[in-house]
Amino acid sequence: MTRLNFLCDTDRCIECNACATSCKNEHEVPWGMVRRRVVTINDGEPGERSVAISCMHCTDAPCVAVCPVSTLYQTDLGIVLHDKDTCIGCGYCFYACPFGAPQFPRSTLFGTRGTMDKCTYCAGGPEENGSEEEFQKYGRNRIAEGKLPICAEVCSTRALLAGEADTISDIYRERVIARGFGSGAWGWKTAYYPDQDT
Amino acid sequence: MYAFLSGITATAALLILTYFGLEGFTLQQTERYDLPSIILDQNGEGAGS
Amino acid sequence: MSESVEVRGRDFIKYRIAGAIASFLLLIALAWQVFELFDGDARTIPEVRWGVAVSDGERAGPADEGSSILAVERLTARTKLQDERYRTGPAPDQPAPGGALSRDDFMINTPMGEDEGRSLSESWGQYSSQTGALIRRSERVSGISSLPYANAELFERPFARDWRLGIADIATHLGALSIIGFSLLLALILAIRGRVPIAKGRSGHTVKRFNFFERATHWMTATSFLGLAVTGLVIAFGDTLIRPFGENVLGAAGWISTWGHAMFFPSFALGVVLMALMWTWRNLPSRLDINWLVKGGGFFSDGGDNPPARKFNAGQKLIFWSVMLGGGLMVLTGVTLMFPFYWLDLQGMSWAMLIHAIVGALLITIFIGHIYIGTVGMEGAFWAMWGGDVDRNWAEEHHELWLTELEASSASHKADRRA
Repeated sequence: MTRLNFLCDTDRCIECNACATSCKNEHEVPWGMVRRRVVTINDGEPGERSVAISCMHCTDAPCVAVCPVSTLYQTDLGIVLHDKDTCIGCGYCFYACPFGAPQFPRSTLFGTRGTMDKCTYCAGGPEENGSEEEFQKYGRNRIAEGKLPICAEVCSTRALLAGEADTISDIYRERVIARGFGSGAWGWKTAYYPDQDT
Repeated sequence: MYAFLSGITATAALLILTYFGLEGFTLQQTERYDLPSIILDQNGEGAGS
Repeated sequence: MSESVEVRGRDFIKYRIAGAIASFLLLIALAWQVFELFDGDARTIPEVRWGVAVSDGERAGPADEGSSILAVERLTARTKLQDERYRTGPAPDQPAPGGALSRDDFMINTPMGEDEGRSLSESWGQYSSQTGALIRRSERVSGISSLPYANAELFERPFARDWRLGIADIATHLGALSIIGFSLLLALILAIRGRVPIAKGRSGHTVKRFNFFERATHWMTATSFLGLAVTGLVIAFGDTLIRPFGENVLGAAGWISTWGHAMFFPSFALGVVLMALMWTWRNLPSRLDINWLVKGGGFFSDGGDNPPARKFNAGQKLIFWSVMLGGGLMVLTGVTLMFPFYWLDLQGMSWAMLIHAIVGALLITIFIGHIYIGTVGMEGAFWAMWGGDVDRNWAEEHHELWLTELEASSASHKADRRA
């Protein structure tokens, strides 16, 4: 069965940060933490590219593999969620993530970090979907409402695509054909060993 | 036997001192992460640290 | 010198039976661990399924296959809205996109089976050559970011994947294999060889080996090490060992261990420093040690003519330096982890975490050996650290040169007093 993905078309991203801002607003993310951020490569030079990155919701997610208390878990659509009630703040998921998705709200004595927070693909957490407790801890659950992540839905240039994997790769491919350039999707699978047979 | 007892007493004493030296008091609080209620300044430091 | 051996290692029948039982249990544990290495379930697999609650006005059960497919259909329809407008809508001749589900009809989550999860995860790993052409190779990518926090400008770092293998495969499996494997070896030795005996039997006369301060320091360090080891093992292996007892038990144990681990550090560090001050001089290597090691310390022979040793033999010196170097490394990496990014960057912190986990597991293995030989493994050894006095025959058989120098100095003291 298929799964959900993010794909950021770096030929279209204009670094407007609408995705980062709308995510913070929708989920009431505290100051000092962003679930989604925009990175600009080769700023000011030819070949400048901007890309928005949050959590890749990887297949064979490394964060889930290293978590000592099974705070992180994956759903059948590929979305990786977390349970703040069991998190011990050890930080292993942060070390294992190639994209720096897990973040910690506190920077206090002796390395205590508080419990981890990360992009949920706007799919909430283990609490009942759409409940107040879920919103307090994880933010809005849009997937339960049949909607897609807000970062992609507000993207001003449709650079950031989110949704069913085959559909968004079709959309991207059509674009590449239509404009005649630009491959090398900044999306899923860059987190793995592409030369390995999976 | 007394050496053993003083050894473990020393361990316990240091343990207790460390408990108060660390944010031992925060052990009383739940670590529940309430999104809207945590205030962080712009450097990412907790308001209580 | 060949002397009569009155007590043989194999005479300790009860110890040997205990060793045999322990060997049997450890063999099962080792076999299970080796099986785990090769059964290929190290992959992350989905455990929870999404499903629609209501379809065409009818309640659909989440366990119903159809409800998952309907969830995907709904989200696929929504995905198409991101396509170029001339291909999708809204336009009069295009189907209208669905609005949001109402609160009563929200999608729901239910647990799913492991086999289905595994086949799903593996199917995601397959991709067509068309998709393959789109994929970028993985490499470290860093740029700039307008956000003011550490490492925001780092897009991707492949080292994290190697770190995952380091902690979830190497540290975990190597640690488990070494701890279980070495314990099995010791249990077999106890079962087959028995204890190392005092060959001539106890003489009833004792000699002072360790003073009060030495013993108190040892026990403080030992207790702290045990505290650190147990809390560390809960963090490392709790998911396998404790989760069967319930998620709440794992949660409580994990939480106590995370805080407790850091709290045992000061007493351990203090103990290591005191031991360094007290015992470094007598633990410096000497030529006697080579001879001792070559002869295996006389471990497998019951007779009293063991290779000579001073206060500490080569085996004990190895333990001492394991504490100094291994323990020192643990303290160094541990303190580094307590102050994230204080003096190391992200790469350095990742290495500190890995070294801490791997060296910790190895130290636990070594100290299982130390605890073995100091308690059940050798008759008469434990009392050295408990009351401080050891049987004179034990001292003669295992630390001959130390006994000689001890008795010579006390004899000269008596001579001085008389003179």
